[in-house]
Amino acid sequence: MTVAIRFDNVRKTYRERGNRKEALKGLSFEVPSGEIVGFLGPNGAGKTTAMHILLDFIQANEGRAEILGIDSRDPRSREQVGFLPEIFNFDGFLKGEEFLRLFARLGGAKQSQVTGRIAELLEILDMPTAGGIKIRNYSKGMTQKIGLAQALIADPQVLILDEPTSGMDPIAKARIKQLLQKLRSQGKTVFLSTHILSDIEDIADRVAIINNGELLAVEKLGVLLNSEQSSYRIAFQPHGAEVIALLQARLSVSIEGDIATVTSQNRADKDFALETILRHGGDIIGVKQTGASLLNKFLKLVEHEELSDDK
Amino acid sequence: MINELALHRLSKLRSSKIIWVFIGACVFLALPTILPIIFVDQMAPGSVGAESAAAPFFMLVNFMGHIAALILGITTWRIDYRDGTLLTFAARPIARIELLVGKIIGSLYGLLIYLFIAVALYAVIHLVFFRFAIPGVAPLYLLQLLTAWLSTFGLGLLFSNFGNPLLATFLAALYWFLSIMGNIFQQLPFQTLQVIGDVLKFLSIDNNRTYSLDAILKSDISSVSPILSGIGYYFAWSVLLLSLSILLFNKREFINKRS
Ligand SMILES: Nc1ncnc2c1ncn2[C@@H]1O[C@H](COP(=O)(O)OP(=O)(O)OP(=O)(O)O)[C@@H](O)[C@H]1O
Ligand SMILES: [Mg+2]
Repeated sequence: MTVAIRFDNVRKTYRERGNRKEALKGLSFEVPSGEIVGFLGPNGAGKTTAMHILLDFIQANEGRAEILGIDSRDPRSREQVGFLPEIFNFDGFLKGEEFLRLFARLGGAKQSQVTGRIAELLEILDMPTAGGIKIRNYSKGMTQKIGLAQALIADPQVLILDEPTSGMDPIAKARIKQLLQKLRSQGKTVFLSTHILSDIEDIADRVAIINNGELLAVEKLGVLLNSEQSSYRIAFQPHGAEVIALLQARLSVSIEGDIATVTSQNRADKDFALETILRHGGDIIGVKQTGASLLNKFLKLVEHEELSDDK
Repeated sequence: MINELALHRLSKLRSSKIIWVFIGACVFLALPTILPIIFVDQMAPGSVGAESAAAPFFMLVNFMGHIAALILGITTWRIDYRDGTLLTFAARPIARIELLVGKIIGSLYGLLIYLFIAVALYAVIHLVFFRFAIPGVAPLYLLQLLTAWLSTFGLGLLFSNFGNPLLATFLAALYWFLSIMGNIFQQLPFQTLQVIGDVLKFLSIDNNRTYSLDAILKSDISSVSPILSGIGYYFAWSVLLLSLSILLFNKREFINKRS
C-alpha cells in the first residue's frame, strides 16, 4: 500500500492575544492512495488546521506532514494536489473559463488539453454554460462547483477537499459523490472533511475521526461499523397476551397502549422475534436497525452517546 | 508561472474601484498643471520660462507616483489574503517567494504603465506647444523617479504586514513627515541639530537631490553623478524593503478568515 498523505506527530498551537489553543495534539495517521477517506470530527476538532498544515499554509509546531512522500513544506509536494478550501472565494472579475485556465497553467497542465478539460469538467458539474459567466454572478453552489473544478483542472492524484458539499443542493451532492467515486476508480486519492455522515457512509473506504486535536479512530468503514453492536427494534400490535409472554421469555418487551416494542441485540434474536409475532398473532408496524450507523459510532467516539438515535 | 501571477495581479488591479478613483484624481489634479504650460506658450511663444512651466506637472507626476506606489505596495498580497483568494494560489505547487514576486512584478507593471502614460502625455503637450530640446538626462531622471517609487512601494509592501491599510498609510506618511523634519533640522544653525537632520533625512528614504526639477528641465546641470547616486540610494532602500517583505511573507501563516 502506497501512502498518499501522512501526518506524523503533528502539533499545532494557536496563539491569540495571550490565549493558547492547542488545535492539534500530536496527530498521526496515513491516507492510503487510491481510497476515499473521510475526515470527521465535531466543529473545532482541528480538521481544517490539519489540512492547512498539509498545504503549508500554516506551520506545525512539531512533527511533519507529507504528500506522496514529499515533505509538505516543499512546494513540489503540491504538484499532484487539488484543493478546495472550506471558506472559499474566487476572483469575481474572472469568467469561469478564464479562472480555470489560469489555475490549469499554475498547476502545470498541458495547454493543449486544457480547453477540452474545462468543457468536460463544467459538463460533469452540470453547469456547461458557466464558463462564459463572471464568477461574481455565480450562485453559492456554482461558486463551490467552480472551486471543485479548479481543484480538478490539472488532473491531480490527490484531492484535498474541506467540506466540499456544504452549500450544494441534493442533485449537486449526488453528482459530486458520483464524481468522487469515478476519480477513485481512476486510482486517485480523495481526502475530504465533511459533516454529512451519510455521504461518507455512501462513498468512503475509510474514515479518520478526530476530536479536540486528537485522533480517535482511523479505520476501514466496514470494520468501524461492524465493531458496533447493532440492535433491532420491532414495533407491533399484539393479538392477545400469548405472543407477549413468549417474547418476554427471551427478550425485553415494552408496551404502550396497544403497541408493543421488542428489542433484540442480534440477528438471531430478531429472527426469533419476527417469527414468534407472525406465528402467534401480531401486526408488525416496523423494524428498525439501530446502532450500526456511522452517526452512532461517531457520537460514541466523541462522547456524545446521549444524542444517539437509539436512546 | 511568475508571469501568470503578474498578469493576474494586473487584471485584478484593472477591475478594482480604487484604480478608477486614482485615475480620476490624477486627471482632476493634472489639468491645473497642464494649463500653465499652454498659457505660457500663448502669452509669450518661445519664452525662456516655458520649460519651468512644466515643473508643476512633473511634481504632480512624482507625487502621484508615490501615492500609486504606496497603494500598490499595500495591496500587493493583502487584498487576496483578505478576500480569501490567496489560499487557492498558495495550494498550487508554487513557492511562497515565487507567489509574492509574481504579485510584486504585476504591481510594478502597474507603476510602469502609470509612468508611461505620464511621459506620453507630457510628450504630446511638448510636441504640440513647444519645440525645446528634451534634456539629455531625462531618462536618468525618470529612472531615479522609478527607484524612488520602488522604495515607497517597498514601504507599502512591508507595512501591509500590519494588516490595517490605514495604519500602513499612516506609517508611510510618517516617512514624509520625517523627511520634512529632516529638511527643517538641516537648515538650523546648530551642528548637532544638523546631524539629527541628516539622520532623519536618512531614515526618511529621501535624499538631497542636488538638482531641482527646474534645473533638469532646463538642462542646467554640470554632472550626472548626483542623479546616479540618487538612483543607487533609492535602489539600495528598495532592495532592503523588498527583501524584508519577502522574508516576512515566507514566514506568514495563511489563516482562513471567516467573514
Ligand atoms: N487562526 C486561529 N487562531 C486561533 N485559534 C484558531 C485559529 N484557527 C483555528 N483555531 C482554533 O483551532 C481549533 C481547530 O479549528 P479548525 O478550524 O481546525 O476546526 P475544524 O475541525 O475545521 O472545525 P469545523 O468543523 O467547524 O470546520 C478550534 O478550536 C479553533 O477555535
Ligand atoms: Mg473546518
